[in-house]
Amino acid sequence: MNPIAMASARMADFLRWGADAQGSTRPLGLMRIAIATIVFVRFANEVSLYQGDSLSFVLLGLAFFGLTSMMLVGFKAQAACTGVAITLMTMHFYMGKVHGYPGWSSHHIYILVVSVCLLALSPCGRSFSWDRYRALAQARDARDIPPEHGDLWPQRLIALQLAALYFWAAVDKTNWSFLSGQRLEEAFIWSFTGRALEPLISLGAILAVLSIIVVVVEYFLAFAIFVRRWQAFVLPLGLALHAAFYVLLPVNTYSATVMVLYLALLDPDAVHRFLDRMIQNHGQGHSPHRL
Amino acid sequence: MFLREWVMFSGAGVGLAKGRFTLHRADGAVTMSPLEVVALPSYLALPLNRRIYEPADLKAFAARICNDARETARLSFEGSVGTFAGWRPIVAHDVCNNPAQAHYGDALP
Repeated sequence: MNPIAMASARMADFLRWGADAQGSTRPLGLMRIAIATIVFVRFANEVSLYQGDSLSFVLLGLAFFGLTSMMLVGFKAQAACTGVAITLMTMHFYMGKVHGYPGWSSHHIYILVVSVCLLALSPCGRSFSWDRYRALAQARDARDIPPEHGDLWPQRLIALQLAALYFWAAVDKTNWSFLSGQRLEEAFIWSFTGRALEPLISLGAILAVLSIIVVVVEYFLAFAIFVRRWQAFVLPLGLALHAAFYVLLPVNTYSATVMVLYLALLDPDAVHRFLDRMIQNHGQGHSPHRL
Repeated sequence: MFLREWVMFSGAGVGLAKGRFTLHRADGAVTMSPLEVVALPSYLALPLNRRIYEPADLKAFAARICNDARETARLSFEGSVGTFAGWRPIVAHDVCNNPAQAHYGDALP
């Protein structure tokens, strides 16, 4: 095969994987519910109405709670996600970066903003949603039931965002101050000084080894998350990395967000079949206590 | 937008001190850790505006002692401060009364 034909075939494969991808919308539905919950947990206390020191802040809180609740239950799901995305962009870019609200300009919030923006572009309301419940209730026969199937290019963009996150995080750490363990020591001093695990700060060369491991794993994950035959060990490796971040450093909602976005890496139809198997009761009747 | 550079651990530990403060009292020197100087249970509770981004910021870091009118002893610091480029040695002879003379040192202690 000549190089042009090979490149053309690779491009066709890429388009089939990306722009033309179609499949089950169940992973998108699960991501919508989980991300809405994370957004709620992260901000609900800070934008509650009793925190409002101006009418505009109270209105922001009302919009936040209304739209996040709609996103969670999947009522007008895509419109709700669009509303949450606009609300989060206002909080991150305007109130966080321009007005300096503490913590609202961090990359933890940025990943939430991007995720909700991409969910808003996806058919995330076709599964596990009030929209679907209403459509099923109104259907007169099987042909009226909307399929849990749709365009998946936004899900592919979420996967690419994860790869970009790992790659640039690793690039940012590829310098002497991180690889020598100094930046990790600084982070540990911030987290553990005065706490029971303060001896972790004094690990010396072990901190350098841990730093190198983190950078190598992040470079590896940036590419390996797309290799389906490696996913059986790559995804647990990534989940373990984020679990370690979560228990060792005050990363807030970051680890939980990335763990949820791992759903975008799985074969959507395999997720669909898995959920079908989990829901089937194998002829043991419909009473919960008999299952 | 989607390929934005990710900056992890962006501010974690930057502006925090490692080393020792010394109060030079008439009846003898008293040595304190940085956490004892800020008098907080953990650095997680330290506001960003009390971190050390340049040597003169040591006075804001040690505000509990510098703002105490009853404490007249000279406070010095010897150690290093966390920066984006790693640890930088820092020396201050009189943190409270002459913060401008605080300076980065040549080598890590």
